[in-house]
Amino acid sequence: MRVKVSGLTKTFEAVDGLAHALQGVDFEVQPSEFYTLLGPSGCGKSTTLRCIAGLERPTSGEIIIGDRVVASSSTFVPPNERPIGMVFQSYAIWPHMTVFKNVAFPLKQARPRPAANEIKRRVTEALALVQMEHLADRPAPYLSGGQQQRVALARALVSKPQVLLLDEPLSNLDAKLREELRLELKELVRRLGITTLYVTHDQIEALAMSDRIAVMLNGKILQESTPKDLYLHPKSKFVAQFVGQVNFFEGTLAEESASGLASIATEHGKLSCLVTPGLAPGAKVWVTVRPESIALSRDGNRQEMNVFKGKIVKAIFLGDIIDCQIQVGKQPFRAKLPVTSDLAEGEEIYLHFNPKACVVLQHD
Amino acid sequence: MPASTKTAAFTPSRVFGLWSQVRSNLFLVLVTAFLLLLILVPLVRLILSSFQLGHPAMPEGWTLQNYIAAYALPTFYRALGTTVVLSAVSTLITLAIAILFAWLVERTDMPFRNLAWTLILIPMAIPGVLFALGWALLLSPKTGTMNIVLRAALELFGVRLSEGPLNIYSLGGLIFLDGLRGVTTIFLMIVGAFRMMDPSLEEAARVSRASPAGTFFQVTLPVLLPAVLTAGMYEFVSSMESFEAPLAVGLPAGIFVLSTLIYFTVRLQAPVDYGLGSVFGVTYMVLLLFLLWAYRRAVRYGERYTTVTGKGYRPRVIALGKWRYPALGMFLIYFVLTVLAPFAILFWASLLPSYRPPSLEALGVVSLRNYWEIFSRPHFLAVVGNTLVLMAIAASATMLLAFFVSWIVVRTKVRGRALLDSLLFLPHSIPGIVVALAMIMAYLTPPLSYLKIYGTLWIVTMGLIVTYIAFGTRLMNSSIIQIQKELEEAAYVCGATSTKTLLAITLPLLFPAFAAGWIWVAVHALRAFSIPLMLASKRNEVFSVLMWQYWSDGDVALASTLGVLLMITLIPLTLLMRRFIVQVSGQQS
Amino acid sequence: MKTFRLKVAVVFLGTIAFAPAAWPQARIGKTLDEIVKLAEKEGKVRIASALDRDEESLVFHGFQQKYPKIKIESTRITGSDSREKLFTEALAGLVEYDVTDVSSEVQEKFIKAGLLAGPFHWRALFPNVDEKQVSPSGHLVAVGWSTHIIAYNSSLVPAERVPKKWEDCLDPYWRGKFIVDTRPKTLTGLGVAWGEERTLDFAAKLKNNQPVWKRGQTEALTQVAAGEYAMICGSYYQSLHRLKRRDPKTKLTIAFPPEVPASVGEALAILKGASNPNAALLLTGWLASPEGQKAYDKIGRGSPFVEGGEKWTLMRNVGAKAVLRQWEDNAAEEALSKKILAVWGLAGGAGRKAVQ
Repeated sequence: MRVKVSGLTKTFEAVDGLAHALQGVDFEVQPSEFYTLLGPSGCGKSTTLRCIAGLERPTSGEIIIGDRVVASSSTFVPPNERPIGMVFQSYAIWPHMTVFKNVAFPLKQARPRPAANEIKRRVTEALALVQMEHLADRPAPYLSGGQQQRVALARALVSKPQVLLLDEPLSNLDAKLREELRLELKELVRRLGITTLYVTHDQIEALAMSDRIAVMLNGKILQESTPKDLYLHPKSKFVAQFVGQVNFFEGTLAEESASGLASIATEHGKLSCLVTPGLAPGAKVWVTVRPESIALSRDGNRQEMNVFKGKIVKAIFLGDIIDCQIQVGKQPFRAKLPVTSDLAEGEEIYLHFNPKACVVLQHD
Repeated sequence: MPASTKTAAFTPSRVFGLWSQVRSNLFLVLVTAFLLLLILVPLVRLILSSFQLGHPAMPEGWTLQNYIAAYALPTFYRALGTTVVLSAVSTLITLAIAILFAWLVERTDMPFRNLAWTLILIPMAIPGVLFALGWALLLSPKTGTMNIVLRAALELFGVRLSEGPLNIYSLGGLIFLDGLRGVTTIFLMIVGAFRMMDPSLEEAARVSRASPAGTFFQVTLPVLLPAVLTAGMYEFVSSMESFEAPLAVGLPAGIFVLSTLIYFTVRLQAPVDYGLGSVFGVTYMVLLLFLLWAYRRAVRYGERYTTVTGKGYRPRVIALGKWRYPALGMFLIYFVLTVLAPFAILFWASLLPSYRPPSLEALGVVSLRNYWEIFSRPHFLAVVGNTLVLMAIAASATMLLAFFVSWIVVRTKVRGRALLDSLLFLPHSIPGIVVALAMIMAYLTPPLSYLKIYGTLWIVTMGLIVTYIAFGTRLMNSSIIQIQKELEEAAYVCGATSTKTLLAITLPLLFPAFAAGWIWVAVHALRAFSIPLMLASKRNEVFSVLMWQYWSDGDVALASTLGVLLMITLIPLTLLMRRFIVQVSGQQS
Repeated sequence: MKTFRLKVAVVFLGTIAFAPAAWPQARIGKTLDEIVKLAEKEGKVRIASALDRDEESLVFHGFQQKYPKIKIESTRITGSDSREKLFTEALAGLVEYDVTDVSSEVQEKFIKAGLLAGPFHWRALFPNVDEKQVSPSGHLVAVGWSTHIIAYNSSLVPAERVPKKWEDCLDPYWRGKFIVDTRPKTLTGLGVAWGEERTLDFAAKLKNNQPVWKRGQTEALTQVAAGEYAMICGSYYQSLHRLKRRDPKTKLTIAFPPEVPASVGEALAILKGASNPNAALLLTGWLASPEGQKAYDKIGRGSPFVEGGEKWTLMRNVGAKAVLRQWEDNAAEEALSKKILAVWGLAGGAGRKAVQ
């Protein structure tokens, strides 16, 4: 089922006047798509999700789920009448009920109410989806974090909603469990073919799970794209910084060549970089390079590559990579290098990176 | 749904939005409207009556005479002065005892702390009127048992007295009764602060070479001052409102306080004067509203201190050494004064055909006849029935209403919810006697007179709801805040309506707090006095009023019998409440 | 679900609002025979009066023997607070009794507010009721009489100090040891014999002697009986009568001053809207008849004017004389009462006087 959000705004009354939580959000989620709202806390991603759930009433704008307008200037469908399932950040498992009763709750709200054996069948089915059927009779307070997460998911899915809303469902789990459940969750919603809206501040989660990602800041969507495109072609410094790590420095656009590459003048010398269209020569720009795109050498002779000279300040061994800090002039650079690299702190060294891994962004 | 439109423009679509909200929250809208009517209409009526001549149901025109007359009356100023003196002195006594007890229970190694807790809590079960009657029997200047004992003791030193040395029918007697009675509530209010206080503050004083006493007075007390001040204000307001002791021992001595002055003016004096009574009521109310305002300011100020918030640590315990058992002894003395002595003398009186002080000779006529006598009276059984019905309905209605309204206040963004919250706190500062007077006025005159509930248990129930709703909403507010909002939102998303969510999710989750509140209201409704005294007809009489009737009829024996029965019922209820309090606050003791 | 809740609320509110209004007004008989017939059909009568449990059986015994089919449900009301309450309840339409004792201060109010049934032709229905007993308006009938006396504890008062006249209350010997009722019924009664000036003068002197103020007689008498105080200056003969019945060995003793204020102590009236008006009429008529008055003598509330009556005999023996406060004097009594309260400095009286 399709979810379409257009012109969504939301204003709260705060202590010191009005707070504009959403300032015109537009996007459309295709049926069966896994769509993620990514952004730092306070960017409005949760508010957007809560508007779609019906937990907040938008100040203006329209929300359509399927073919039904659920929120507009003249309509407001309360959450209990929307075809949605939702998992909360805290899971919100009701502590005064057993696992079974928690999961059965949505079914009992349906009119006409299903028969008892039908409820039992469907609850068992939903618990089976998340491999929790053996704990059906356990009181909710006796569940671990991961188990609560699964129960919350079963509860969100039991009434076979058209749209699944997930509000940072993994953020309260420890790292290892989070990785496991990430895959499991993605696999499950793909199998069910359910339209999924996912809210997170964790870029790795977003990249790993989503079909498409919208990066939000200050109540607006900055960029919306597939994970790969977003990572490789960020359109703003914020997106580049937020999705993965990035080195960036100032420069001036010198001239544009035919192949989409351009020459950029920086204080460390001339560079050849990919450029977004629409920039005029002479414009001030940000040049960005991902740490993993940087290679080091002692000789500095590399064809078709950009080369800087620098000094290794620090090299930290992290197991899978070496996280290296290099000083180029006054500018610090970070590079992620294979653990087999042979480096010493304080060593003079050359940095290389491919022009295609170097993205030029408009200066703000 | 808990969201609201926020725009000044009244476009058709906004009206639609408003209406759909009203419709989907019909139940909550009704509850709010009901409470507003319940509280506001009588108060407005009381104010109107203060400007009317004659009986409220048969007014003889508008006038300012009531005010002129009231403020020209020396009795009024005397009563006002007595009220303030009584409240101030008894508050100081109450605070001193409560602070000492809280400190002993929370910060020292006094033995049997659990027992001490129980000893402090039980007095809550003793109705004020019963407490006063018990002490009237103990401290009547001539026949009071304690006076007889004291005189015998003094005689050993060659001092011969024909009466006294103590007299409960005096201002001192009133202060004694009021000062002792407030301790339980104030103790409960400040004990948490004593428990939560950061012990390093005291430790810092100790390593700076302060003595234990010096530490207490120079560090502990000042740090806890906001909490103590708040409790003190609360107790002062409560004392200002006290009615039962001033009626039972103040009035016979000709000592008026504001509450008894009102009762005297609209019930006892001949002819009664509702106009004057209303003026006293309005003045009394305004005075207390001012105090309430000061109280809320004090509370707000108190919240700025952060030293006592936070939790988790068990503060350092101060070793009392050889004073451990004497400390416990103080709790026992308190228990004897507040519970055991009044209970014993009432029990004694309940065994006699007519009252006489305890003596070997009187033992000859002791019997349980009064208990048979009382159970054989058809009116008694009706009164028991009335009391139980009143208790159940008042407790359930108060807590349910408080729950619904608190939910609106805490969880929704409805406009005016802060005002609603303040409004519900308002009755806290309106004395029971004024609530009763206002309800009389309101339900005697249209439009509420068409309800035809004057004199019935319904009007008494409403009066009690008005009196206890402030407590109920405070308790429910803090409990609802503690329940994670997402637990409710999860239910909406699962397809539940707001009403269904309240009943299936929120209410069960805060059940311990709800139950504690229910019992608190039930205990207070069981011993409720001024409101049923004023509002219930003879057939709808309740326990404590019947007891008072017997007493003022001179039937000490039957009054005592009722009192003993009431105490036996209330004490277990109070102890049950303690279990829920423990559960709610998660405190160890 | 929602509509169901709404329906419950509507039915609930409707029941509260309209149930009491639905009572039909009962028919009242024209002749005694008819009244007896209807009364027996009603089968019971609900009376509110100052009679306590023991007194009920003494007073109602004769009526029960004569009309065994009519059950009497008696409720004791005492003091002006319960009468004021009854008045406001009747105003609000709550009628819990068929017949009630209406004390003198509220008689006017009851009649003016139209809360009493009648007026009735009492002497036509019950020919042997004395003319003095029927109120001028015809709404009320006097059944019990109040006589004001001094009461003291004989173990606390030496023989030479036994009070003989009202002025003995002014003796400094009693300072702080004697009780005066804040409801000045005794003094307003004395006003009939003494006139206003002398009465107010006495009231002022009484106050100067520092009495212990009490509202209500029973508690005060209990305290004198227990020895807490020595004397009450102005008590009711019938109250002492009751205490003596209960405890024959009590030290409470009556002193008759030369002027004994007497007034209608118990005036019965039938409430409008009573569900058993015929039984109420019958009971009231019987209580007012000589038969009923004899019964009232058993509880000390008989008339001091009936020759050969218990009270009359006692008073003649000590040379005391009863002074009657008439029905019509209610307004005058209330005015005097306010003035006395003003002299005493008690709430109400002084303030009102200042502005009127």
